[in-house]
Amino acid sequence: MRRFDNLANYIKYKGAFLPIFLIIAVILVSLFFLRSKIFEIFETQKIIKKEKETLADLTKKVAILQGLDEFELTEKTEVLLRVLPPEKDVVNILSTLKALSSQTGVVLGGIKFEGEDTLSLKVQGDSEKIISFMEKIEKTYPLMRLEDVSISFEEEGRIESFLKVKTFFSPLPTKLDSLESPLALITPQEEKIYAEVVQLTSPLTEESLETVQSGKDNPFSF
Amino acid sequence: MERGINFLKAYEGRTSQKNFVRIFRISALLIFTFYCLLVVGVLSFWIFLKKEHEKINFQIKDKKSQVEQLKKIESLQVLLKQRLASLATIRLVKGGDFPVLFSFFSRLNSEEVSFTDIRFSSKREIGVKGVASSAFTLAKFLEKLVSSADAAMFSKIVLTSLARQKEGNYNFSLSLTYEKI
Repeated sequence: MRRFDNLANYIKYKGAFLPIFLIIAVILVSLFFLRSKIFEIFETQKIIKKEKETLADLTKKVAILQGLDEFELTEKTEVLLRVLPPEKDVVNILSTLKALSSQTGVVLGGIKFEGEDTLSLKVQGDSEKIISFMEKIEKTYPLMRLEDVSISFEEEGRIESFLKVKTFFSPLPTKLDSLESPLALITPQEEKIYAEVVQLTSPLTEESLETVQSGKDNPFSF
Repeated sequence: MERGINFLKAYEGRTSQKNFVRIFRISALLIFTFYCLLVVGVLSFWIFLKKEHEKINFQIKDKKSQVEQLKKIESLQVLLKQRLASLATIRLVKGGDFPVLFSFFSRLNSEEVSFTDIRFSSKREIGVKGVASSAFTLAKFLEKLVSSADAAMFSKIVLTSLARQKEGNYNFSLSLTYEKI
């Protein structure tokens, strides 16, 4: 009896079954294709988010780089390379010390290298001259720093001192960071250091500036 | 008891069945239309994202070429930054300010109390050796050293040795630790 009822129901609603089957079939087939697209959408959204960040970084970097003055940068790096050379420049250090000794009037004795960056030197003169020599060492480039000082007072006011001077050098950077990496800016503290360092002088350049003669006072005189 | 026959019952049943099928068809069509719109929406969004992706990639490429053109400035900036960072580290370690110390001790040097040897180290230790003509002059010198305005720069002043010589002189040695100049 129940079987007959089901059959009767089927006959009653057979008009509705066809569209149901069709719709379910279309949905299933399209879901199969849509699934990959939906995953792709999520992935692409993530990628776009990252790329937008990269683009923002690059735009910022370009703006910063365009705002920098090449001439000023060249000038500043030249100063800093003179102050902190890329490699140990023994000749320059010795010439600087010799020039300083002749400027201050002290007698420079044996100079000896101790280790990679320290040198010891014997200096003779009166206290004023030695003080002046020590002061100038720390106000001169290439950068040097007094580490230890030993002073012996001899007869007739003569003083002999042994100075340990530390010299500095720093190798050049070997490679640039990737194009996307942000550009490190100069901090106010570093600006302050530059302002301090730019005050350093060299007895060698002072001497060379004194000897340089250019042009004529009167270009029309023969 | 009389029983009536309802002749409309079969007709009513057929009508409600037809209505149900019609409603079902319409709602199925509506759902299907909505689903189709959803599919179109998803595909359109996918196409939009692809285009957006291409656009951003093009912009990134363009910016990268701009950075490439400005490479010289970038390398100068990197070099400047590297030098300044190194200098900041070097400048952090302050020197001993030896000229100031030496000048201070030179001012104290006199005929009565003279120094023979002074050692300044970067570890802020100072060793002084000297000769005093008498115990009185040495005491006077030590008092002057401790009470002078510049004595504040020393955190410790210790007379480490004192020896009377045959001639009546006193050989002495001092150990000082300086704080700041």
